[in-house]
Amino acid sequence: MKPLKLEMQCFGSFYESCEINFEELSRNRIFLITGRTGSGKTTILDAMCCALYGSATGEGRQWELMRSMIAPENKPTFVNFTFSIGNKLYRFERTMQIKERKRGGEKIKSAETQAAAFEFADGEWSMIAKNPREVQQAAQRLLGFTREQFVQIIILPQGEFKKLLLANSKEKSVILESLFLASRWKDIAGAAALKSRQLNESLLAMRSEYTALLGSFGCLASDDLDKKITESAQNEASLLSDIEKTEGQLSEAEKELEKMRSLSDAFLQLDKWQRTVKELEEKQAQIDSLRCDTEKSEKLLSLLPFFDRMNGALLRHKQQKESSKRLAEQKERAQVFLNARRQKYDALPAMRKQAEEMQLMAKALSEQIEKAKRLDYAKNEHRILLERLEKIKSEEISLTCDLDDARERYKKGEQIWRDTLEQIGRMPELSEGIRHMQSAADDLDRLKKQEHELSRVYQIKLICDENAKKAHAKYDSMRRNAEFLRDMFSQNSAYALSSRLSDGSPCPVCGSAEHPHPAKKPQDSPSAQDVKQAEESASNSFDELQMAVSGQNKAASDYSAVFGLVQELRDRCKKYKESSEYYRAHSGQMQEEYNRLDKMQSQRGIIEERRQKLNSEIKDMENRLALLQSRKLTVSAEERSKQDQIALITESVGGEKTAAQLEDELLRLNEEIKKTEAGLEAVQDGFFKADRELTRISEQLASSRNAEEEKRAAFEEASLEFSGRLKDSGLELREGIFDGLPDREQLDRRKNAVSQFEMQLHTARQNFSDCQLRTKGREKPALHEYLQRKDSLSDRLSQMKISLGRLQSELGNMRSCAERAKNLDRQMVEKDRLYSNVSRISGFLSGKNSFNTPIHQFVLGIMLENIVQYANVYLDRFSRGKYSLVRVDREGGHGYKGMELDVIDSYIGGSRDVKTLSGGEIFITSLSLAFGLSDAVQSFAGGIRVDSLFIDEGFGSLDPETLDTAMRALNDILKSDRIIGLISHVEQLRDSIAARIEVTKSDNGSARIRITA
Amino acid sequence: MIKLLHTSDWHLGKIIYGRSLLDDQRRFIFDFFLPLVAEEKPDAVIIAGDIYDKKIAPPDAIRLFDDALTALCLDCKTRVFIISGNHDSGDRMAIGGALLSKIGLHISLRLQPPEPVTVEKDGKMADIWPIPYFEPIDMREMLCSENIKSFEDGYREYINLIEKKMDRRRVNIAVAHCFVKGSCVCESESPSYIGGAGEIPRELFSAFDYTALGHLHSPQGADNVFYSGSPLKYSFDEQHQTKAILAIEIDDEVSIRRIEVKQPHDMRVLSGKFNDLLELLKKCEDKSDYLFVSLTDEAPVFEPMARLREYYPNLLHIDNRWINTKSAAGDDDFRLRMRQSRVSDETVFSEFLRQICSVEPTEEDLELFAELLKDSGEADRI
Repeated sequence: MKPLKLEMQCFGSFYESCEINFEELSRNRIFLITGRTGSGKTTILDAMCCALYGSATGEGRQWELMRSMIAPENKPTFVNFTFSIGNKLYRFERTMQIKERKRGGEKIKSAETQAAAFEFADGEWSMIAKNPREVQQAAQRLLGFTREQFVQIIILPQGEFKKLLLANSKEKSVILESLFLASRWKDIAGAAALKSRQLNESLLAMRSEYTALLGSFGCLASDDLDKKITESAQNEASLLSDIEKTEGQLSEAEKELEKMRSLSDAFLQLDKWQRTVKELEEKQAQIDSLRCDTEKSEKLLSLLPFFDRMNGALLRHKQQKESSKRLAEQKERAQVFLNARRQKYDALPAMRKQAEEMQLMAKALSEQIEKAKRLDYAKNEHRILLERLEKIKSEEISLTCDLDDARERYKKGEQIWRDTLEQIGRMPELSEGIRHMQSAADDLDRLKKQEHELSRVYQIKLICDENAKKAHAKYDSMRRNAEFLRDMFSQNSAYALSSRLSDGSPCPVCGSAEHPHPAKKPQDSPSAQDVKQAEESASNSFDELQMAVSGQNKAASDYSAVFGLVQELRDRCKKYKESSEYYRAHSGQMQEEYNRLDKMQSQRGIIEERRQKLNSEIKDMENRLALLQSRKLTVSAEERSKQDQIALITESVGGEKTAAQLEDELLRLNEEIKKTEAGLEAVQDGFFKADRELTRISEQLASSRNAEEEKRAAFEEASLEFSGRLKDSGLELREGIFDGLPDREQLDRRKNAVSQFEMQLHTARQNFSDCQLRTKGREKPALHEYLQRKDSLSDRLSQMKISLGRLQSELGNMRSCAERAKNLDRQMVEKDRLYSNVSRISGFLSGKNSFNTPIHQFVLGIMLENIVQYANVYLDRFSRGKYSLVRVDREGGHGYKGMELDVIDSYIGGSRDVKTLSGGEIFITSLSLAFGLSDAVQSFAGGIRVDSLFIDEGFGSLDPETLDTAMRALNDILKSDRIIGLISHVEQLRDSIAARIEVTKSDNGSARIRITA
Repeated sequence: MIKLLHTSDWHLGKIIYGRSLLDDQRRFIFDFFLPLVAEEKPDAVIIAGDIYDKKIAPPDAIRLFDDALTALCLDCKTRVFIISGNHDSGDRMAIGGALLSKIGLHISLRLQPPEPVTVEKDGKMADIWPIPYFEPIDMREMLCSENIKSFEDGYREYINLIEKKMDRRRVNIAVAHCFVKGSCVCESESPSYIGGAGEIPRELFSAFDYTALGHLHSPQGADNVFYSGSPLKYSFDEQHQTKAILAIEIDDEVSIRRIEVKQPHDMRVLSGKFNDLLELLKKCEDKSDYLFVSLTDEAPVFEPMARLREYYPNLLHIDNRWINTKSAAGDDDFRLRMRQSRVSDETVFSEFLRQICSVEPTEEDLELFAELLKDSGEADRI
């Protein structure tokens, strides 16, 4: 991951929006984040970590806690982090806003977090994660690290990255397990242990089952069980033989019993049939009587339909006769009605003629109504014309008054216009006067002002002259003092040199080997410091002198300039007699007058416009007046014409009735006509209707008489048939012969009852006869003796069978158990062998071996060695070959071992615990280990790139020489592609590393960034 | 003829392996350099930067330099030209510039528009152009140009300004503190600044008759662009170097003469087995050199530093080959492949049985392992 840009707002100490463009540092593979304590250096790393994973680098700093304390509620917290992995660009954004919502009627505030991740592809950003959980997963997927791994490998937080170095075996194991996915080896060992346990349990269960199987038969071994099975089989055979014998005996006893039962039953039947025959013979007489009645009823029942048919025909004949009679009466009445209608029908022509005359009267009345309407219309038009004429006359009068008034106003306006033009002509003269007055006033004022200025600069000039004089004196004094001290010091230097001279050795100044007059030590010799101070003082006073002289020259120059100006003004003002106040006041008055005329001039256009408008209004009124007069003439002519028309129509109408009255008359006449016509139609319809009715009734009467005749014939036929059948049956017809006759069903029931009786009697007699034959010459047997014998045999047999069943069941059980036991025995042998191997392997994997090392520890140990291998390359540089790390098998507590680290010290020729290192040594060793870990992760994980590293503090614990060595080593390390960001306030680093991100605080306390590269 | 002495990189106050070299530096200045100046009587002494070792120099170092300057300027009455180096703090050293120039001490510590200082002798004029150490941002701010991204850009612009003012009838000498491409470096040098590209091409100085450079500690140069090198040895990889002060004589041509500097303490590297070296050091009579020992024993040696220092107090550092072999992880093929994550889980399991459990894995063991992998939900990792 290579950082490109980081933006944040209201995050930690960055209240205001801030952007860090890492690309400005892109040519520098190491850069420094520097600033005072608490300025916000670590916050930059926290921002990156929060954007990716939602929490900061250090323990306990969650995203929610990173919002600036003084941020206003309406300003959101956000961190936006843009970075590259290989050739791909990604942007991770996280925002926190304070939202207000109601809960239970109360308003509460909560922080809402939103997060999103984007990938730049095909020229645009596309979203790859849309909520905090997805964003964290995306970070893990893209970077290849969880947050815990990230702050172990990429960002080395303040004070925390020495954890790996100083952690005990258990803690190291936990760290490395998560980095190298070694916990899965624990899972494998766990699976082996579980499998071993399961096999053991299975084996125990099998053994238990085997023992139970044999024990249920009281055996300890399978051979015992086999013996038992053999004995039981023999017993079974013996029992089967006994059962067979007993079954034979039982069978015979049952046969004998059956015979005796049959004989006993026959005797019982004999008694029963005898009794039955006797009872039936006693009912014989009743049955005979019933038989006779049934035969008679049957005959009557066969005659009944014919009787009914005859009666029906008679009834129909009577009915038809009645119907014919009624129709004859109706016909007579219809005839009478028709005669009455005929009379009215004959009077129809007279009524028709009357109706025609009424229609002619209605037509004449309509024409009269039309004329009356035309007359009313003409009168109405005449009235309208008169009204219009009146209106025109009144308009004419009004317009004439307005026109006179407008002419008067125009005349007055012309006069005003002329006066205005005259006054405006005086304006140029006024303007000139004003200019003259103002100029005089200005000149006089300026002269006064410059005279004051002249006085002031003169005073300044005097002061500058005095200062220059003093500075000069001071400088002379300082210079002389410095020269004096220098001479004194030189003499002392000469003495210093001369004190080292020895005869024979050349003088460094003259080269002579003899020194006859070495320089003597002067008294009260000043020190180099004194000389230096004196020279400094002289230099300072020289500077002061230069400044004073410069001031003096400037003052003189100013004075002469102002003096010249004053002279010029005095010459100009000689011609003015009055004061500037007089000129200014006079100028004011003239200006007021000018302003008034100017305003008048500006209104000139308006006045001209009004004048012209009035003129056009007058013309317009004159035109309208002429138009009105013309219309008046036209309307008068129309009115006269209408009067003539009214006279003509009145004459033609005649009478005094109005159109409305005439229309009423017409309406009444039309109603009369309608009534007359309706009467005519009614008479005609009535006559035709009566005629049709008479015809219909006549036809019905003829038909009814024909039907009557037919029905009579049918009755005679039915009567003849009935008589014949009655005679054949031998019965006599009398009143009520068919009363109480049963229906067919009842009759059948009686017949069945008779035939059943006869059958019963026959059957009973037959059975009695059979029983007599069966029991002939025999005595009734004693059944109980035979029954007893049979039951006894049956019980015995049952007992024997039960015993056999139990014996067979037990035998079957024993056999199946024996089979099962043999199988179990075979399986146990196999499982025992398997368990032995699995438990052995499980033991190995979980650490039961000669090294007491579980497999995951073995793997971690190799990983740690790998890391140490890489780390020692760095440590060799940082410590200049003094230290080297080594893994040791020392017990690390909690059963963990083999993950401890010692440091080999070349100075003592042996190793010691890393905890014995000093603070600075721990720092460089931890740093080496962190770099080593980063290299190991990169090589182990294949695709994961570790393009950048960030180290937060720690350099302050190094002495200058070691720090220098560390910086040189870092610079060499940077020959790879990795970028390293350091956070430190150490001044030496600030001076050594040119690419810097400086974090400072602005006036309002917000952190801000400055990049130098 | 104008004569100049060119030196640089005094690094007053330097500490190596915890040992302060201030006494050695004092001896160099007062026992060698000042007498040399008195003898050679140069027209000017050029100190091309890195006066101090740290930007916040220790007071003793400041006093030493003060004494040296006083002796040079007042005793030897020699003009001295000093520029700041990357180890010097220009801001902290800049005081009394105009005043000091009156006594012949020309200190150029802050980047300003170029102005030469003229040295005249017998009608021969030499313009000395001091170029103090700067960073690209300083040049950007001075010239108000955002196009200056590197040291090379900055130097190019600054030398262009010089060339515009240069009087080519005179001898023009540049004094600079930088890293010229193609030069050799020592362990004791710090990079110009960490993490950046600080090299500049030699050709930039082609307009000058001589360029006195500082920054690199080994004396070297070509085409009249020379590093005097540091006067003392500051790291063990300089043990074979001959430290020097350069004497530049300018007449019709420029000639360069190397004056070897006698070291108060030389530097030596010894390598061998501990017992041999112990015997050697016991017998050694001259124990003044600073010593770096590289032990080649294949087994640990008990407290080698303390025991050797007993006979040789100037032993500064010990290096032990045994450390590297002891701390190295097993280089068997398995561990190597494991580091490169090129082993399967089955191989890890097999090696675990062999190395830790001392048993050879059978087919049945491997089948069982495959089953366990499936049970634990693990796929094989290749």
